[in-house]
Amino acid sequence: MRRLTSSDLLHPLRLLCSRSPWTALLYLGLQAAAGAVSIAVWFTVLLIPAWLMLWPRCEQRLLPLAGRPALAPERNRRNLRWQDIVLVLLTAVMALGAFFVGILVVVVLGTLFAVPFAVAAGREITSWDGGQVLPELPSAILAPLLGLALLALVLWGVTALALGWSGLSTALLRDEEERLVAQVDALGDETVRLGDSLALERRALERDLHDGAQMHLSAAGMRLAMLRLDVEELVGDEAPRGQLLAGLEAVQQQLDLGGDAVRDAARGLVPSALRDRGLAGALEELAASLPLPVTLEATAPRQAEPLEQSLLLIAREALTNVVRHSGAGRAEIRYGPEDEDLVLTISDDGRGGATPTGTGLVSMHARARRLGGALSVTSPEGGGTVLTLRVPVRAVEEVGA
Amino acid sequence: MRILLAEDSALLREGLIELLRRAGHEIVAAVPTATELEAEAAARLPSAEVDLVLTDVRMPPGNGDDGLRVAAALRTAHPQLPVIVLSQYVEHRYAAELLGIGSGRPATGSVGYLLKDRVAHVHDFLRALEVVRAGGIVIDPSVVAGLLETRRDALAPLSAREREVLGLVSEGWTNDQVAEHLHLSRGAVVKHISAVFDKLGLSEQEGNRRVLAVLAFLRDRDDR
Repeated sequence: MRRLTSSDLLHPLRLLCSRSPWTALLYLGLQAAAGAVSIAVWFTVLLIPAWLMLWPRCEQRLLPLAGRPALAPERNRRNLRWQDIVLVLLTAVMALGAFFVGILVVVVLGTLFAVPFAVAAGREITSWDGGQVLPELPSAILAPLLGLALLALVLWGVTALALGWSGLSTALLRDEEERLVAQVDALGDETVRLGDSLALERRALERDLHDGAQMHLSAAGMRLAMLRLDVEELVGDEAPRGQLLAGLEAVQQQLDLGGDAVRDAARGLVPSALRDRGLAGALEELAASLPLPVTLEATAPRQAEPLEQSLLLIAREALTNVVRHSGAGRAEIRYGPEDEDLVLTISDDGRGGATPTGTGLVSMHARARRLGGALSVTSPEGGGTVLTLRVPVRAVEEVGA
Repeated sequence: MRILLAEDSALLREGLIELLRRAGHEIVAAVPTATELEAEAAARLPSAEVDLVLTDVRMPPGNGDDGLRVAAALRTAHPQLPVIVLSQYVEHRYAAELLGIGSGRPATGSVGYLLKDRVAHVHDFLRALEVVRAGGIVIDPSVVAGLLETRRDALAPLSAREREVLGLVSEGWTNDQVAEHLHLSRGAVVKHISAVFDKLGLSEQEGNRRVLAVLAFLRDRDDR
């Protein structure tokens, strides 16, 4: 089922050509039916609790019809919450409204589409108050056209209404845990976005230092070197020459200090192995820096730097977890192309049982999302951990923007 | 000597050309990219027109460590070819790769890794050209200092003087040069060096092999 957002409503043509309006209509129809049931149940009194428990659970699964993600059925949910009662009451009220509006729409549309048939049958078409007879031919053409336009408007309205309504039920039915998870995900996304833009800025800064300050310092050093050779060859009085050389020596020292300062500032702005040799090289360096034996198999060609940098960060995070938590004796990194994707797998033989809510995994998931990829973690208790990241190669350009 | 030069920045390339000519060397070619360095080397090495290759690390086409790659490839093809790599950074990996440390095929000599800042120390720089041309190894003092810093634990048993000697040895200095620099007798230097090798558990060697052994020790992460 296609996901919808409110911005999809701004493209009515595209929307009307899709299946969404029809599934939305089905969704609203089911809502109306549920509303009718709610009203009927009200009179039985005895069935009220059962219905209050049943309908919200159904609604959770119906949400995709309206273009929203289904809500995970809550585990061990036995108690009734006030949100459920509100939802059922609102559904009942909506059903009444939908009933009357629905009838009105059906009657109007039915009438408009019936005009050509009525003309064909030779009946007179009069205005709504019956006071005026309308010309036959224009009515036979215009009425259905008007009907079509109205139908389009109604379908658009149905989609919008379903989207709004499902938003309301989502807000009512989503439990606290899911809300928090959504919040954590959003925070993770934001952190990763910030981190990525920081990395880009650091990259630019490093380039500026290299092509600017460092180059001019080196050029000044070369000038100084030549000057020193010139001074050394000067013939004449010893004393002024010694003074000049001492002055040059002092300049030299300042230049050295300047060079060191710029180098210190540039150090660590960009992982040099990544810059020089791509992700394969950086992974090799990463693997060599770990306190456990790591097998590396990297077969993917070089990718755009932002993508490689993101993948490196995920790998580093994953391997940090391996070292800190898994108690593994060895680990394995595999990085290669597969179909249209890049796949990075990091596995260990440790104790497994990784919790998906750790901060490390949250940011790895956020990073994977940002790359348009998917991250999966298999970590059975006592059976090691396998982390697989799959990223479409075409995601590359978008990340750097 | 006849030098093949590769440096992508026009400003630095011109500066180096002028300085080297001033010091009496001949520039057989000066190119701005790693690809052209490769081409020039292929054209000139067979006829022995080049005494030394002097190259930058970060150059087009890749703007990564392209210069270092070409230098390493040239050394594989011509193990006796004197090569000096000039870098803007203290990068232990560059030095290690150039020297073949950890690759099972360590360099035997004729190789140097210097920071660009070193050029300003003109006599050190010109001396480095001669040393490498003559088959020696020259490592920039900053690289050695960084290595000494990261291995502080392993070097704890050394006295201050022994550490000083170790630093100079790993930069490629000979016993005589060390003695002169530290104002020691030759015998004292030899004594210090054998004490260093003893304490670090290295077998004593001569010349370039000694440098490589010390560098390999300094670079190795695990204490033995």
